[in-house]
Amino acid sequence: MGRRDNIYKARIKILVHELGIEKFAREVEDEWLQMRDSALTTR
Amino acid sequence: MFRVAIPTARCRRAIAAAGACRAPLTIAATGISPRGRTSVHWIKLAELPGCAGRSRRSRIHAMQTSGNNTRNVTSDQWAGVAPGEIEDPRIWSELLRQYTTLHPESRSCHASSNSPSRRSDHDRRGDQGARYRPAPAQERARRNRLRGAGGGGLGRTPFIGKTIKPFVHGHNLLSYVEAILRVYNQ
Repeated sequence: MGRRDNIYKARIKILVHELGIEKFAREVEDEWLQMRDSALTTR
Repeated sequence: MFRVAIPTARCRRAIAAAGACRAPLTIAATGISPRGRTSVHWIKLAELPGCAGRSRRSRIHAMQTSGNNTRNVTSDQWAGVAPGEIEDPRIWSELLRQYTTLHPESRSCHASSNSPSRRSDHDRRGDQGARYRPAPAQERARRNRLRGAGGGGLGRTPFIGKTIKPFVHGHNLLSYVEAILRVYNQ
């Protein structure tokens, strides 16, 4: 989703600006739900 | 790159200390940033531990920040001792830096992913406008409760970071940051 055509635009801030915070948050939440209980969880 | 955080209120003394850290290095170029830190470029890895030790003895802190990874670039000079901080944010920063160094999701980004670390509600360094892409951690109500934010950045296109998730438990920090990177890399 992030831009690759321009190094100055290859930033999450640009992606959030283009997608909107609600859609970006939804995408992150969907991705995170799949890996929430993975080995990445620290105790 | 090796960033040394300088308390601006103690600037003369701290810059002298930073200079003392740099002095014995074989090859290094040093620059002073208006964000309260000095950066030592092209430091040799073998010389890095000694430089970090000299920083510590001068009562300033420093961190290695090269490579494509998620790291604390704001290098808050008061991190760990600032009033209102619930816990030392440098632990979280270092955990993230080590985890994301050489991580494939970080490698596929054009540039490194920058993350300010702040563990108090007071944004004393303007971290919300700091140049970061996944900004994972800010203390909310108590220890191990973080707020996920992203989309902030200064530079040529300044944005204020927005809250993505109001609460992320500390033990989910790595998976949450990776989820942000994965969305970006899709």
